[in-house]
Amino acid sequence: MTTSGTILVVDDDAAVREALHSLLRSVGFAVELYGSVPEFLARGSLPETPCCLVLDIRLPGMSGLDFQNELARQKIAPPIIFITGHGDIPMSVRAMKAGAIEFLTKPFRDQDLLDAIHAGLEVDRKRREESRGMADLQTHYASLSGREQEVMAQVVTGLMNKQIAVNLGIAEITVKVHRGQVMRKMNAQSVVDLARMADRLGIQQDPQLTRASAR
Amino acid sequence: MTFLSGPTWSRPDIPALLARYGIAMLCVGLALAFGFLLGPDVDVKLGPLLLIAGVVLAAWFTGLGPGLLAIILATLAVEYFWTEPVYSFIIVRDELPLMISFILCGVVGLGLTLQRRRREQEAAENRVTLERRVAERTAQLRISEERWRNLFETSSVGIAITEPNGKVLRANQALQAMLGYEESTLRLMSLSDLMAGSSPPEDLDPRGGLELPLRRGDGQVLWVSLSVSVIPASDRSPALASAVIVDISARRHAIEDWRRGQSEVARATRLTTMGVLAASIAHEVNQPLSGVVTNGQAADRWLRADPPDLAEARAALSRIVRDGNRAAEIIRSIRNILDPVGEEPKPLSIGKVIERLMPLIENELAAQNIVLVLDLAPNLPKVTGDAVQLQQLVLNLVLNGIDAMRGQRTTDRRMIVRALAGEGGVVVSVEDRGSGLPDINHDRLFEPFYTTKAEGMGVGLAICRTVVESHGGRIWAESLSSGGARFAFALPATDGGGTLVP
Repeated sequence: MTTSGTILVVDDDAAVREALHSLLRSVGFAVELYGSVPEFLARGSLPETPCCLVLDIRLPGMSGLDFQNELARQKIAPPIIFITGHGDIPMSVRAMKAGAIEFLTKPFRDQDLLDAIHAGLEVDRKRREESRGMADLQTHYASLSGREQEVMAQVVTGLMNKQIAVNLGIAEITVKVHRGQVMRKMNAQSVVDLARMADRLGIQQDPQLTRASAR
Repeated sequence: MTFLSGPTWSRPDIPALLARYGIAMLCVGLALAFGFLLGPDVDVKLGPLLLIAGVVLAAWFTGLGPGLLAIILATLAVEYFWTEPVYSFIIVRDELPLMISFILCGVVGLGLTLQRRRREQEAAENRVTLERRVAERTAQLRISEERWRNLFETSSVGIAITEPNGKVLRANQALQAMLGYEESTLRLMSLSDLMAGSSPPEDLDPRGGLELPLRRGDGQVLWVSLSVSVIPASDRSPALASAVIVDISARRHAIEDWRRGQSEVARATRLTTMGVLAASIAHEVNQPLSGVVTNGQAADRWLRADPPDLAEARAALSRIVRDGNRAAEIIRSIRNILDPVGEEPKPLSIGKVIERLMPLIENELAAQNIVLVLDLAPNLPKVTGDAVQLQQLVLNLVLNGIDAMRGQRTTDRRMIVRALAGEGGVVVSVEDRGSGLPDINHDRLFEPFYTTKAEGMGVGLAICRTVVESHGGRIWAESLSSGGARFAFALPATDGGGTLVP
């Protein structure tokens, strides 16, 4: 089983903490232990590698559920697995609705926890990849010149070179050159590919131009 | 007299004015007529005298103006009829003194009469004012009397007016109803006849406020609070006493019932407390248990690894033993609370008592996001007592504090449990950041059945006081300026002679 990732455990009971530490190390995870939310916050940012939070519901000061909301509010969303001494249904519903991976009642089967952790790490890995892809895309888009960005915005609406030339008031041959540059710099395989990128980047089409060319 | 009392004197209106002048002329005319009627037979000087009388009469009835007119008319009449030459208005030098003295007599008569008349009028006015005042005062007195009588008759507490020796003079309706006697019967009795106790107080204590049993008309015993005040003798009435009698049977019965049922209530409360704690205990036992399970699973994995990691497996096993013991310890402490029989009072450390309590309340504290701050002074003197009862006591105070902080939206969610040396022993206080205490005498909080909680029975703090007092200590409550409340109790030190330094 390939296991890589950091497991962050927040539980106020030392016995539970130590037991989890041993269990998680036995399957090869890196483990960090915290007794309370403030202790966890003192760590600063989340680790660079995929990670997963194992959180007790009842914590002194700020409860696990409140902490989950707080993280969501700050748009930091590591996968969370809740463990609790006695969970009730409303509590678990609230946790799952807020995006928890799993809600386990102590004592739990080790395999249930490990499965949840794997699922959590997978989610985190995907999230990280996605955000890395997004970052690449933004870098590529930023490398376009102003004119090239204008041409790209019109190409992805499906306009022909001739129409773009009229809209922008430049020669059709120039449009062709810009278009080639855009495809190369954005690393796009086709116009459809480019349109998908524009969609992810959230590039707005200029409705005025679209109307003008339709006329 | 109508003219004197009438308003025309100061505010003349024309017909009345004319009437007055008419009367003046009439008076002079009458005097003249009398003069002639008597004239031939009596002395000739009677005419002017009669005219002076007419002037005085006119002045009395009509005032200054008509009086002056009467003088002028009378003077003319004297000049015409009684001075030489007779029957003419010609004035002879010899007759001048007579005329002048006549006029002077008239004027003096007029002045004296007017003065007299003014006095009479003022006296009449004063009399009217006085009569009006008397009427007003009488009405006020009647209202006041009525008010007092109503107060006396409709008061919900019994009131009796008695002679100083207690003989009943008046009894209000509430008292008649309370005692089951008519007022007429009560008038034949004295307060001491009503008392059901074997030895009624010799004299009534004027400061009053004693509680005693009275015998009703139907033979039943009624507990009342009696306060007597003496109404001192005045020059118009002899000394009296007023007795205010309040039926306190209900309160007394409640207290007696409470005393009877106190032990049952205490047991019930203990069970209720256990109910509150059940979830807490479950959590407390569950924590080490889940440690045991997880450590077991981890040990299994360390042993199955290739190569097996024996050191890690052994560490996990020793944690299993430790956590198992911890669970057993919690179970043992619960059993102590459930079955406190056979605990002899012995010297003990209050700090330890409080520390042992902590596992039982951690869960409840966490559920309310309360951070408990323990401040136990080192080297506290030992106190003699029952550990379980004292634990129950502190537990009750802490649970009260948690209740007070439930639903309070304060950022400061601390509860401070403090044990310090003081008052000849140890002072333990529990401080919350809750809703604070009601604005009453705080001793009332410890009275049975007094409660500020919607679902409270009002016995928790009463039991706390019983426990503290049975240990020779005292308990009190105070509001904190920061909001919240502090409940504290002091227990005497074991080697401090067993009593508190006041």
